[in-house]
Amino acid sequence: MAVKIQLFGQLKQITGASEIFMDASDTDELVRAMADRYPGIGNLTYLIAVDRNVVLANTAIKTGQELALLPPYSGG
Amino acid sequence: MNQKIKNIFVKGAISPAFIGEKIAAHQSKTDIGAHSIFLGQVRADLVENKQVAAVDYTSYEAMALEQMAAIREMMIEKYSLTCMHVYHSLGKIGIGEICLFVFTSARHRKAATDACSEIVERIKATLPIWGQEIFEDESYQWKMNKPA
Repeated sequence: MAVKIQLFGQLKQITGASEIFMDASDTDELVRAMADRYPGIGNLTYLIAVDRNVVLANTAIKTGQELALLPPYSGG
Repeated sequence: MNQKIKNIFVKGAISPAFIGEKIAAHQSKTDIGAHSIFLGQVRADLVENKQVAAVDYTSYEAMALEQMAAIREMMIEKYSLTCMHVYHSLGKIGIGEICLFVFTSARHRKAATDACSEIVERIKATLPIWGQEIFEDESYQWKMNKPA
């Protein structure tokens, strides 16, 4: 299932895109797919937000959900 | 949760005049006995002999505003605040300019100052905002927040 992912900060810069489509049925699969497609991510850590909430454990991805990958914050 | 989503984002730097207007707007709220204000300013850091000229801020705005609404509700209740205002810049902010303005008001000083301090820490820890430091030679690096 292809899902739309929003990218921010360094991830947007590494991939050259603010939105991408990835095939993933859960968030662990998404992390593996990202590393395969974008080796440049390397050791960059990021959080995954599903419907604007950070998920820490592996989470199933459902059609229509809003997904985003968030590098470490540096606001303020 | 019945949260009102307020926009905190300002395009460009936060001007001292804007801050002054916000203070003045509270003169009619006479149950307030104390205000506390935090202002974040873009610092001219030196990194490997290159000086920061500006920080370019971006955000996942929809999520940041939802998170901020939750923080607002929690802080107003915890500290019995009369008022609470938060403004954060987006876009390129030059060194010496203000990029974060947190303004809390309460009946007494301790609630206002403690709330202001906690809100700043929560903003830095939980709002999806990114700052890219732009150096004088146009090169850049992603900003990393340091503890307090």
